[in-house]
Amino acid sequence: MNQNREDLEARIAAFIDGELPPDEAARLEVYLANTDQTLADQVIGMISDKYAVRHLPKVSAPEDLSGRIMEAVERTSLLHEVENLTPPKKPWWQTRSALAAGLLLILSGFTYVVIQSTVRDENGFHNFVEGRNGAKEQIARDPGGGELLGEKDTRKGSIASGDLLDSESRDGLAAKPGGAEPKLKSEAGKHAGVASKGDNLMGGESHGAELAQLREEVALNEQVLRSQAVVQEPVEKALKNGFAPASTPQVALENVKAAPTKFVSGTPVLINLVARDDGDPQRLRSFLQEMIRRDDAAATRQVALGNQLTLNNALQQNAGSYGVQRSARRAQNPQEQGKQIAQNSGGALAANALDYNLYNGANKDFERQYASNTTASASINDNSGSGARGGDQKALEAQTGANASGGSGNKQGSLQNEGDFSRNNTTNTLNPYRIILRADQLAQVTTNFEVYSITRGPSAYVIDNFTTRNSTARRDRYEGNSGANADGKGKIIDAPAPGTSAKGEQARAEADKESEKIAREQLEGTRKKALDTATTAPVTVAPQALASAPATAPLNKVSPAAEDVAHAAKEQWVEVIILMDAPAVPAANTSMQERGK
Amino acid sequence: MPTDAPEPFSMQDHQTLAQLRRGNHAAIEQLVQRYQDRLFSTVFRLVGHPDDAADLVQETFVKAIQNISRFEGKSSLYTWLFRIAVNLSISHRRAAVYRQTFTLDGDATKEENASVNQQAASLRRELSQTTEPDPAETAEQHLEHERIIAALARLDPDFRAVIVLRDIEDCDYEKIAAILEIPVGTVKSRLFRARAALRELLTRQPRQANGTAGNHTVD
Repeated sequence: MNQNREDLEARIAAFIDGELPPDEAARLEVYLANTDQTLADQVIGMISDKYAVRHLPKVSAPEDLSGRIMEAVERTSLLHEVENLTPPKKPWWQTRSALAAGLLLILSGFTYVVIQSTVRDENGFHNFVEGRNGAKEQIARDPGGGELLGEKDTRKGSIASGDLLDSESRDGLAAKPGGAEPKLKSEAGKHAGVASKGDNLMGGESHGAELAQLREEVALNEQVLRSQAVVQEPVEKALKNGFAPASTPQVALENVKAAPTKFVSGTPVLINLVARDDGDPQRLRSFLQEMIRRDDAAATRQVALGNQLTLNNALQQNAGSYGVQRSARRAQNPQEQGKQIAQNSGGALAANALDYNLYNGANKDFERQYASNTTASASINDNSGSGARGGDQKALEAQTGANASGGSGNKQGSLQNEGDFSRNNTTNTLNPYRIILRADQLAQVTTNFEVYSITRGPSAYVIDNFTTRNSTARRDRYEGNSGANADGKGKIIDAPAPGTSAKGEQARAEADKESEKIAREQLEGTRKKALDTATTAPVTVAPQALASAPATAPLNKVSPAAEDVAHAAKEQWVEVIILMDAPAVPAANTSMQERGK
Repeated sequence: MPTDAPEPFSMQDHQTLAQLRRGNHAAIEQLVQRYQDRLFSTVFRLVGHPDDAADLVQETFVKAIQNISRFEGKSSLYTWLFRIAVNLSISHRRAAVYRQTFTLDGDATKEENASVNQQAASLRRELSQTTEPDPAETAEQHLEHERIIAALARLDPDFRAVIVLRDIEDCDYEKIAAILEIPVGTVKSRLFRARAALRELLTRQPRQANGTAGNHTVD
């Protein structure tokens, strides 16, 4: 019955809403009219009410409702976060249980110590103490090792050389009871050979020469470790002068990722660091200078250790100093001088220069020249090869005199002249600052400085040995440059805009004139070699410089590509130049460095 | 005002839901802008007071954002919001009965409150006439609306909900069933009973009444 009633109500509701099929609606109408007139009247009233309700006036939400809702949502979400952050209060029994467990643990440990000390063999214990003290005395008497061994102390277990061991190793040896056989730290991989030598010495046999060599190696190794420590120091230390670390710029990372082969560790890469408009260029520059200074100090130590790699970074302050500085290099080798001048004939000397010198062989001297440079320009002068770097420093006085001065054996690797650094990047209001970075240095910048970007011109690519962009056509276009610098070590070709350095212009012109003849002769001799090596040698071309280079440039027999000219005219991009094959760090030193870790 | 037929979970809902789950502020704002008017209208008809309606709509969105992770997507976002809003309104309405508050839209259920409610009704009419100077021919219609609103206010919350959803919001049975979480058959039978109760209230509260009529709450 109830079910029938509910069905009837449902059908009446559907009938009022017009949801009932027509035939069923008709049957319901007949049913209502014939059986229950009251219900029929009620249904009619319901239909009337339905339309009355439907036509009630619309109601609009208050204007500030959305604002109120958003505020409430934010407030609630914040409260929710705070609740999540608040640690739940632990029940009292959990806290007491933890305290009880801690007390039990302490009591157990104390009991164990008491029992162990009670049952310990006294003789053994005394031997242990005696051996330990003896070892300590030996260390105190002979911190340098060497002389005392074999003669004054023939007891097994004495320490061969304090220099060979770090503090942990000494402790380890000293702790050996009963004159145990000393062992050098096994983890010091590079010390494996050293350790074996030390063992021989400890047997009481004296090897003066070998010992001296060993000590020298140890001393060098320690210097390497110290230099490594300098390099690996957290950047925060370098940034103590007010440099706040910041997030990594996406642009820099993408550039690095896009060209991983160009940022191989140990490969010097010249890039342009341009502070953004909202950045502080002075801080960026200071940061870079500080970083270079530290790395340079580390490299200096490596030179002193006999490494074949020396980094020499110099920031020149004055425009004229660039030419003077460079001419000193040229003076050592007139022929190479001619080549370089020939290369530079299409452009002017840079306002300032940053020297990057790679010395080979026995070249151990180095120089560092720093200068604050408000106009911020740099250049690269890469000298690689072997031979003594003689060079009369007086030759620095004059460009032309430098051409005639002597010196030999200094093989010029490549040379890149800087363009006019008064050019501004159009996207930045700051003067571009040029500097040389390695991959690890680049990483320091990208992870610690936010005002940073790497700009690259439309066709000024860093073309390394592996890129395919160094096409034959491009090589042919710049064959003059390639030939002038071909030495198999690397190519950096850049013909900067002329007339940008008033001081060096006259001297450069004279130098060009005098050296052109020599350069041409050398060029012919090296052209074939240049063509052979250009396909694999890294070549970087600065289209803007080419665009502005004089058509009568004696050796740059190329015309700038149309797209390069267009780009140069459209935007004052700055060159991205360089790739050199830096001499690898000798394996021996590398292993020593690893040992220090 | 009348709205849609059952809204399936659309692609737009998918996108909005994904953004909401990520805490996207813009998505929340978009959701509020899209549904606040419809929700307010419904809730206002359910609770009968604009301030209460605004508070309930606000609470609806807050609850929705808080529990967005529990939303399974079986219905549309709109239906889900409506369900929250209607449930809040019904609960609010039931609680209001116990609070025995007197508002301009309040019930006149007790003898001792009759005079208060009479004054309130008079004030309400005066205000409405002051703020909305209706022409003479619309005055009668206005009073009729008042009569229906008053009758709706006296309905049981469950009855009121089905009438508002069906006759004002024009929801179909399935959507009402989804919102109220009851079977469709129950929706129909409850709708019949609600309409019958409303009919009775309107019958006892004759036209041209001054708001003092009827103290009937139909259960």
